[in-house]
Amino acid sequence: MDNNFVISVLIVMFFFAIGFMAASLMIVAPNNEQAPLSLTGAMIQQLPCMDLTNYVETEITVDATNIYLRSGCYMLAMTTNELQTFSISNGMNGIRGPRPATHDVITDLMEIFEIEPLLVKIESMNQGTYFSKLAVTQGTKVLDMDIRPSDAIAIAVRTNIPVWVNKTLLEDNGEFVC
Amino acid sequence: MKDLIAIFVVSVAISYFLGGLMYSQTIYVYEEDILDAPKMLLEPFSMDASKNPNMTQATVIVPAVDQDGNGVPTKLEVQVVPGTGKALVNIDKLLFWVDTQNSMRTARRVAENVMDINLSKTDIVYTITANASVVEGPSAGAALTVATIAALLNRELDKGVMITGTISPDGTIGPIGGALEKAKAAKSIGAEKFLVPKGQSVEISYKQERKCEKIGFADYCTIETIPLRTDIGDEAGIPIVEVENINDALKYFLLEE
Repeated sequence: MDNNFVISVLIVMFFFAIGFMAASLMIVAPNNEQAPLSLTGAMIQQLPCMDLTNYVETEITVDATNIYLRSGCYMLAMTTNELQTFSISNGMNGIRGPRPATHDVITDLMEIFEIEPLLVKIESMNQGTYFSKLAVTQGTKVLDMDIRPSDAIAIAVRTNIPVWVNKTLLEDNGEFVC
Repeated sequence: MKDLIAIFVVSVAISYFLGGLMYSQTIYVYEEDILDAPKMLLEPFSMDASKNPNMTQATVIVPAVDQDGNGVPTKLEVQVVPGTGKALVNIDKLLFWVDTQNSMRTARRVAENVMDINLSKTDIVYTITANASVVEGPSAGAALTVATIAALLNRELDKGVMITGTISPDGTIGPIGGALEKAKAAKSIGAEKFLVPKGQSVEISYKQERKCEKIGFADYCTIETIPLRTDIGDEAGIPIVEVENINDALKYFLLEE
């Protein structure tokens, strides 16, 4: 076989290989640049769970069987059981019992597996039952989940995240305390 | 002297006569009350209406659900007999938890209030027949009250009507659990109409719904709890009537005289 022919074929194959590699890099590179390992604060703020239109941040207090959420002159009372208020009270005061309590275990798991809590939203009430959401994130994953308000608040006080209440819900069902 | 002797003889005679009377009376009472005591104790508690013309009774069937989910009939019998105002529970075949016994006590009190009568001279005997060894729960309270009133009125009950619900001292019929299963059970044992407490003709159950979507770079997931509304009448295939109190229930149970 003619040596020049072989060399020509090899040169053509070399350029094909170079072209193919360049094309591959062009396809892959943009994605690598755009896909972060975790969401930035600005990205998280764009998510539906972070929409706080008509929500107000509240201060939490508890007594034996009630959780009180206060914002301005309105205070919402939610009745629960003594175990839940005891857990919230312990969380607020940084008290851990001799054996790990359920909410302590949950927050330990979140910390070890780098699940970051974002916020709690008390959204609605139906037939005396309040409904709330807890939003958490890990890497690029975000979970906005239904949760009992007492559980959400017990986690919130342990992880220092805000508890937001729907303003209309607060004013319609809360007590005017000013 | 003769007079004194005569007075003495007459006095002795009268004393003997009175003493004899008292003695014979004592023997008589002794024999009747003590020797025949077992017979006397048994007779007033006879559950056979034919032997006791003063007794009235009523029976109502309550649907129950066994551990396999099958409908099983539970028969409630109420007998009314002259007595001293007792609420008696027949534990011959079944034992009762306190909540069921309390329903019987409340049923008696509600019957007294609804009918505006005094039951201080009436005993009410409750008997439950079921394929069980122990009965618990307050959900037969409304049925017990209906049967108590029917027994006191000596009225017949519509056998095609069944009811589930607790009873409160003011006659309110309160909520129970498992209304759908009980409605199915009622149909399976022959009910044509099933009475349930107010608000329980529709059952709300909850289903968890998970959704994930891509929002920007985020894998955004939500977990929602969705309420599911089930119409018990449609699901069980039997007409359901909501009743708020015992007077509402009696309209469906008491047959025209």
